[in-house]
Amino acid sequence: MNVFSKITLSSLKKNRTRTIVTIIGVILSVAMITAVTTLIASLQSFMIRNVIATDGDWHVQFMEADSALVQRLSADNEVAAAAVSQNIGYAVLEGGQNENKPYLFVAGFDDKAMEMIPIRLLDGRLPQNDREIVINSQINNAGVRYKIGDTLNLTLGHRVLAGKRLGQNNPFVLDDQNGAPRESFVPESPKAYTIVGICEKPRFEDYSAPGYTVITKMNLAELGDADRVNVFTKLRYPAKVYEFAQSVGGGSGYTYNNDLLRYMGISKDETFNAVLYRLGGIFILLIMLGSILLIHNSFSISVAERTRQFGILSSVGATPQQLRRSVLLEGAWIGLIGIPLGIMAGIGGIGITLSLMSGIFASLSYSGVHMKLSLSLPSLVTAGVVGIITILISAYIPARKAARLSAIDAIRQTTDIKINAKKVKTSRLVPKLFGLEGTLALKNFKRNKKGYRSTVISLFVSVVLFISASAFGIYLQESAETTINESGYDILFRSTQTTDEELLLYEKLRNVSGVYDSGFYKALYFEASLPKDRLTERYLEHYYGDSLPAGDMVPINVALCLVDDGTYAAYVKELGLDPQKYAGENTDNMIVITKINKYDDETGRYVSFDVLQGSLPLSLQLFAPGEPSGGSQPGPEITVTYIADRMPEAISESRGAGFLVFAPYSMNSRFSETRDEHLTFAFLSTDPGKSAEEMNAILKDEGIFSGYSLYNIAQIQEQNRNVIILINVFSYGFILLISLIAIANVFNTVSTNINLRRREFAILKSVGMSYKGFNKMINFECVFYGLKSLLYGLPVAFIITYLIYRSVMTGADVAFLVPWMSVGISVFSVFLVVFVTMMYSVSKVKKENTADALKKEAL
Amino acid sequence: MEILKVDNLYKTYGRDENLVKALDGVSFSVEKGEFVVIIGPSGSGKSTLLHMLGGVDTPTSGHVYVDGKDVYAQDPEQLAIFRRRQVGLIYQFYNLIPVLNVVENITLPVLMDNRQVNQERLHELLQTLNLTDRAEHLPNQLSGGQQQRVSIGRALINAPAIVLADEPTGNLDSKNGQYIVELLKLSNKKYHQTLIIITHDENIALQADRIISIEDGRISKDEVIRR
Repeated sequence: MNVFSKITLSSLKKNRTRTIVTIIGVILSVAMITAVTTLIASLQSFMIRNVIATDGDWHVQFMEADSALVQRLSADNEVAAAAVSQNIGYAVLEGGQNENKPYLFVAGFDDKAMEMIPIRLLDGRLPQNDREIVINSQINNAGVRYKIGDTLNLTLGHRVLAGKRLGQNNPFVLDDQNGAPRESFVPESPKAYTIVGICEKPRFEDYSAPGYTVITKMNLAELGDADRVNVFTKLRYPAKVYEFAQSVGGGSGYTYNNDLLRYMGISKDETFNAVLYRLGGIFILLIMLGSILLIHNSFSISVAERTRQFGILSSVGATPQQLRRSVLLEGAWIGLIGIPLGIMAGIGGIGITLSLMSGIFASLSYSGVHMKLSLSLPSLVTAGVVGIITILISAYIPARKAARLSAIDAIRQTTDIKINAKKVKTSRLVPKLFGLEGTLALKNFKRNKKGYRSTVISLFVSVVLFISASAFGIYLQESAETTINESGYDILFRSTQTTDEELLLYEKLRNVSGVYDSGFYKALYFEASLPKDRLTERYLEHYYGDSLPAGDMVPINVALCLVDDGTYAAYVKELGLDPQKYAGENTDNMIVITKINKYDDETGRYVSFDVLQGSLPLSLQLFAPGEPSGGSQPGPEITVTYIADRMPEAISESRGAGFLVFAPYSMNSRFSETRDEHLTFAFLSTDPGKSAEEMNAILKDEGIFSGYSLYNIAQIQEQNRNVIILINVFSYGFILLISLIAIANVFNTVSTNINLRRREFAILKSVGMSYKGFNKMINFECVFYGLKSLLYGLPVAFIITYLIYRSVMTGADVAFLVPWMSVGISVFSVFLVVFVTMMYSVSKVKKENTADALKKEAL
Repeated sequence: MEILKVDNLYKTYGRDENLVKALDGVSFSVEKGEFVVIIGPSGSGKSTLLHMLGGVDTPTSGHVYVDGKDVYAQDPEQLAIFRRRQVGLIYQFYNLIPVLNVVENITLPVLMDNRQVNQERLHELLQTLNLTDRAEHLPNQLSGGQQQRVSIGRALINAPAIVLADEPTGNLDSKNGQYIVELLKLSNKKYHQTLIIITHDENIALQADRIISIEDGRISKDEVIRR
C-alpha cells in the first residue's frame, strides 16, 4: 500500500468517532439527493403509467391500414405489440336529442386493442364477441338511457357528403339556410348487439365527433381485403418511433401518442421533463451547497489536526500534489462507505415514505394509477455522482489550504490561530456579571471564532430552515381552510337536466343511509338593465372602469335561485320576515343579496362591496344574458323587496357577479327554460363517503352516467388536508435530514475543538480551577454559541416567514403570524445540541490525567 | 568545491512597528564535505536560516544556491523533490509520523518517490543507527534517543548532499547526544556529505571544521577551526 494511503487510513481509524460522524453526514446527504432523484424517477413513472391508463400503451397509430400493412406490422421485429381497431360504421341514435351528435359510432377492437387501449368501464364487462357491445356513458347527454342487458338493434351504414365518406373527424353540420343536415346517411346492413357494459367516453373520441363511440369485439381473421383498420403499435425501442413511423408510412398517415412520448422523454417537446429536471436540479443544488458547507467542515477539522503531519511530510519532500491527493483519498474512503449506504438509505426512506403515504396518494388519484417507488439506473447514478462531487469539493477546499502552507509553518502550526490582545478584550462588566469563568468563556469564544464558525452556521441553517418550513406549513393550512366551500353541505349533486322528473331522483338520493338533511335549488341566469344612479360608484368602477357604456342604463347579472319550499320557509323565518308575504307560490316579494364578494386581480385580495343604492322595492325586467337590453324575447319581470345578508342553506353560488335573487321553487312554472341553468341537490350526511357511494349506485341503476357532478365536499376537504400532510411530510423530512447533518457537524466541531484544548484545560486545572468552575466555564461557552446562532438565525427566519406570508397569502385576509411553537422548539434544540455535545466531549477530556495532558505535544 | 551558497538572505515577519528581521542580509558559502556548526543566542535567527537552507521556509529576499541551482526559483513541486533528494533535515523534536513504524518513517522520502527501497542500504543504516531490533516499532514505543536516530535515518536514506540538523541533541542526555553526533560525523566522513548543525553544546561546536556565529539575524563571526 502506498505510504500516503497508509497514513490516511491510520488517521481515519485513529479518529474513529469523527470518521463515523462524517460518514453519517455523507450518508444523510447522499440519502437526500437519492430521495430527490428517486422521487423524480417515481413521478416520471407515475406520469407514464397515468398516460398509459388514459391514452393507451402504444407509441404510434397507423390509420386506414389494409390487411397487408397489418400483417407487415405484426411481423416486424421492431414492433413489440400491435393492436387493431376497425371503424365498423355509423348508426342513427334513436331518440337522441343532441343535434351535434346524432349517431352512434361502432368501433371493433381486437384482443390486443382491448389490452392496449384503455376502456374505462363504469359498469358491466368488455365485449367477448362481435354481438356484444360496450356503450358510451355520454349517450345520457343526448337524453337516451340504456341498461346492461338491453339489445341494440342498429342499422349500420356510412355518412356521405358530396360523394365522400365522412369519419369521426368530420363534425355533423346543419345547413345555415334551411337547418337541414348537409350530409346524408347511407344505411347498409342491420345488426343487433347486446349491451354488456358501460364505459366512459374514450379519450380518442373528440368532443366535436358526430357519433358516440360504442365498442364491440372484432375478429382479425375475418378482415376482408377492402376493410380498413387502425393499427396501434408499441415498439421494442420507443426512441426510434419517429424513424419507424416514417419508414412504414402507411396509406393515410399516422399519429403519435404524444403525451406518452413526452413523459418518456422521447418527444421533442421536453417541457415536462425540463421542468421536473430543473426543479430537481435546484433541490439537489441546495442540498449539495448545504452538505458541502457542513461536510467540508469535517475535512477541515481533519486537515487542521493533520497540519503538522503535512508539515513533516512536506519537509521530507512530499509535493503539494501528494498532500492534496492524501486529503482527497480520505474523501474517497469516506465516500466509498458513505455513498452506497446513503443511496440505500435514500431508497429505503423514500420507499417507506411513499408506502406510508400510499393511502393519501390513492385518495388524490383519479385515474386509479398510484404513485409508487420506481428505481431507475440514471437516477441512482446521478445521486452517486452528485455525492462524489459533494465529497470531492468538501475535501478539496481544506486540502488546497493545507498544501499551500509552507512546511515549517505547518510544523509549527503558526497560522491556525492568530490572536492579539485587542481581539479578545472583554468589557469590564463581564467579570462582575459572569465571574472569572464567564470571562474566560467569552475570551475563548472570541479567540476561536473561526473554529466555531461552522457550529454557528450549522445551527443557523437548521433554525432558519425549521422555522421557515413550519411557517410554510401553517400558512398553507390557513389558506386551504379559507378556500373551503362555504355551503356547509357534505355532498352536492349538480345536474344540467332541470326537468321536474329530476326531482324524483332527488327523492331517491335523499333517502340513502346517513343523509339527515337536504335541500335543492334551481339556478337560472339572467341579465337586467338598471339606471346608473341605482348602482354604486364602486360597482361601476370595478366592472366598467373607463369603458362605462353611454346612456342611462347599465346591464347587471342576476342569478335567480328557486329554493325548495322547506328550505325557503326556514330562510324567511330566519330573516324574520312574514311567511304570508314572502313564502308561497304566488308571492311577488323576492329576497336579494346585493353585496358581492370577489377576488380582485389587481390587488390580489378579496374585496367586498354593495352593488345597489336607493330604496326597495325594485322591479327587474329579466332577459337572457348576452342579448341587448329590451331584446326580442324579454324574460319574466320580478320584484325584490328585501335585502338579505346571507344565503339560504343548501345554496352554493358564487357572489361575484351581481344580484343573487331567491324565490321559492313552487314558482318554477312561471319561468320558462333558459339556456343556462342547473339543478343542485345538497345533502348533509353522518357518513358522506358511504352516502356518496350509495348515490352513485342509484345513478348507475337509473342509467345516468354523465351530465352531472357529484361532489363529496367532505372528501374534497379530506383531500386538501391530505395534500397538506404530504407537503408537510416531505418538507419536515427534508428539514430533519438537514438538521441531522448539522448536528453531526456541530458534534464534530465541538468535540474536536475541546480535544485540541486539552492542554489548556490541564493548565487551568493545574493552577487550581475546580470541576465546578470548569463546568461553569463550559456552560457559558455553550450559551454564547447558542445565543450567537439564534441572534442570526431568528431574525432571518422571521424575514423568510414574512416573505412566505406575502407569497402564500395572496388573496385571503389572514394576519401575519410567527410560528412561536417552532421558534420555541428551535431555541430549545439549539441549546440541547450544544450542551449535549459539549458535555460529551468534555467528559472524554476530563478522564485524562492532568500531568499527562500537560506533557502532551500539540499533535 | 562549493556546494552551498547563500546570497544576501533576508527574512522579515510582520510590518511597520511590528516588523521583525529574523535574517538581515546573510551571505556565506560552504564547501562540499565541510562540517559547519551554527551558534547564537535564542531568537538570533539561526533556526530560520537552517530552514531556508533546507527549503522548508521561504525567504523574503535573497538566494540560496545548492550545487549551483537557485533553490527558491523552483516551483513548489520541484522544491518538494529538492527537499526529498538533496537535503536531510533533523529537528530537535524528531517530527516522526506517529502512525508509521521505524522502517516506514526512515524510508518515507524513498516511498514518496515511488521508488524501491534499497534493502542493503536500509539494513546498513538500521545497523549503524542500532535500530535493527526496533524496525517494526511505532514512534511512541521508542525512547527519545531512538526517535532521534530514526529521524537521522530518514535524513540519510537518500544520501543527500547536505544534512541539516537543528539542535539534534537538545532534547537528549549527554550520552545519547554524543552518540548522535558521532553518527552524523561518521556519515559526514564516510559519504563526504556536507553537515550543518545548530547547537548550544560547546563540545559539539569544537568538533566542527568551521563555526558561524549569528546575532540579530547577521553573521557576527565566521571562523575556520580546522581544514
